[in-house]
Amino acid sequence: MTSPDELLLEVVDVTTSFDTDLGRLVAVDGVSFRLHRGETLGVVGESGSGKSVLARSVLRLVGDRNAQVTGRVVLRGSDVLKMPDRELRRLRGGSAAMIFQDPMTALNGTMRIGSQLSESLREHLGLRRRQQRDASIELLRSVGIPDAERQLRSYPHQLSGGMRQRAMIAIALACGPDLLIADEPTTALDVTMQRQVLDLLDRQRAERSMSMMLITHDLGVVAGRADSIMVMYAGRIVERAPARRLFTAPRHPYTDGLLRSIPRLSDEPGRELATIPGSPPIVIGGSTACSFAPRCPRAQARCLNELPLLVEDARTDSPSSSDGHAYACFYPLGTESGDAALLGNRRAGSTAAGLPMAAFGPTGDGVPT
Amino acid sequence: MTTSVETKGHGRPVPLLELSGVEVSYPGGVRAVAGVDLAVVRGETLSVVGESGCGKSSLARAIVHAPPPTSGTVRFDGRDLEALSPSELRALRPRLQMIFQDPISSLNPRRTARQIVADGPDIWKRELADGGGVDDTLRKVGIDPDRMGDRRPHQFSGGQCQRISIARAVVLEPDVLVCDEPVSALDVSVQAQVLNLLRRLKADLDLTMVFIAHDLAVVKNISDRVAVMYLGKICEIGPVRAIYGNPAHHYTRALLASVPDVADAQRSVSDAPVSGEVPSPSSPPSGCRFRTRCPRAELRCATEEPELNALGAGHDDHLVACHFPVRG
Repeated sequence: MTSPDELLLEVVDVTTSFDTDLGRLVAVDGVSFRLHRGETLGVVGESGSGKSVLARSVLRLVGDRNAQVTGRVVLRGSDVLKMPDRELRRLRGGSAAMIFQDPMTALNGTMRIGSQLSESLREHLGLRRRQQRDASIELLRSVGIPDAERQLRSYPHQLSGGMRQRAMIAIALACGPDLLIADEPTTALDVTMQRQVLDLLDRQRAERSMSMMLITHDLGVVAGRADSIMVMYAGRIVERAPARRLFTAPRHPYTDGLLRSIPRLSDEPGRELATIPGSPPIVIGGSTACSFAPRCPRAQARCLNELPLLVEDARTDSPSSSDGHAYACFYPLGTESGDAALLGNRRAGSTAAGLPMAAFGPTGDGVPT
Repeated sequence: MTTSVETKGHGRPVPLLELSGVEVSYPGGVRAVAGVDLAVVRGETLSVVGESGCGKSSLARAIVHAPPPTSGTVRFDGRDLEALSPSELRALRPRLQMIFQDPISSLNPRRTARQIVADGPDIWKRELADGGGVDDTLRKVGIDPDRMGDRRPHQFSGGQCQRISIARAVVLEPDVLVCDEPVSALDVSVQAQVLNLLRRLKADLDLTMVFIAHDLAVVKNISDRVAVMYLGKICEIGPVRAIYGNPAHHYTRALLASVPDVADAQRSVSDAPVSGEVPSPSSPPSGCRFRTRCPRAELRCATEEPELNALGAGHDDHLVACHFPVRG
């Protein structure tokens, strides 16, 4: 997975909020990242972390009238958030495409698969009828749909879940996008089918030197497939690192907790799982402190009063800062202050947020390094 | 056909739950469960794992007779549920409880947590033993009754709702708890909490669990024994260590190879281990049901259906339905 240096996408300080009865709900809170050509960026978070809203914000697909998106999304030099509608229509389905968790809501149920493919080939590439048909058959074959010629005449409901997902991928790939955003592309599929679809996406990305944002709640899905990974919590990026590094040396206590609470095939049966007490919050009015502090084994008074910003790990030896390891935590793993915070909380029996340390289970509060 | 638990000779316990020839059919000729024999002994956790459409949820419902299987028998504590009168079956229900995948829609939105948990004992006019009261049960599942007992389901998170469903089931002091995908709708950070809770309750309350799930890592964590289902039939069953350490059926091996694991960051992802899709349960393949996707399939697999047999000497409790099993 090598990545040429060409910068494809630059997201700067994007904030997406919704006016609700409870107040201004900040779903994405000041997110910045860069994506190079051919790279896969994994975006991981639990429900409500803002990962799907972030994906939609990038393509200006947040349709809600009460929504507000600020910041800059620069795709190949032009700002998606400011471009005129005509340019935006050329972009979507052209140089940038998106696939969704549920293919039935993304596909048009009243149109044959063939017509849905042709539509985009005609609109974006100006292909003629005969060429459209040939290109469509080729696309369906490339995503592993058997009997492609016949399937052109199928309606979405006549396909199985896995085949529908493939058809949606074919439509997204039709115009050779530079950027593919895949929002939970395999969550609705069984494991054997999930594996096939992920392999397909990865192959297509490599063949087309396309960039991909792979959004998922499942750390296993991005392991081994993403070049770098961002972990989101309560609308903010709490950690970003090259994939291997995130799994082997996480800095943020949330990433660490997530990694240790997942049951793994390599575990012995019956192991008591580490837990993260409580559940993810909903942020109204924007964060002014660390949103994870109420569930964190390392929480100190500072975490409850001050917002930790995403900072580069001084010890990363990466040449380019955008590919480095960054985290948003005052007391990260693997640091003296972090270890002191954890040991102090253990001695006190509870965190600064008042959470008893026993709530983390036998091994759940992390190990000082 | 032998089951893994013998009642005679070996001095092993009589199974608490025994299924023989269980079938579940739906209109349109779909045989979701196409003949399952199973025995669950007291105190164990047996998991049934498989992909969607394999019939695992239909099997779970058949076990608690909601609705009863189309044919075959379910014996609970030695009694055939089919032979019971409606009132006798009702009287047995508290001992045979079930929890579901969607924790929010399986709770009555208009009732408080306390009321939801108290309903069962009220209906059964059951005197609750010391430490078995509604508030104590809520405390056992990690819901503080003083602070949260009077809240309604929409005021709880998904994980808390699942805790309340568990409280509603265990307050009746059941013998068997059937869990249908109890953690698959939960966030990963909450999933671990609920799995730990189930494991602890099972030990504290001496429960027997039937655990239905599609997530192989979750199943490995919670189970004593595992049954793998494909297209309505069990293709392999055995102790958890045997199934994961020594899988003999090609389908089990394919499933295990498909699981995306965090350890994948360390190794590069190799070829897809299984191709194609699950055939329709209304017209399963002849012979072995897995043969259309199996790398090892031969002519014999199309003509002769493999029976579930012990893998070999020394593996009495590890059964596989395959003509060409993998012997580790």
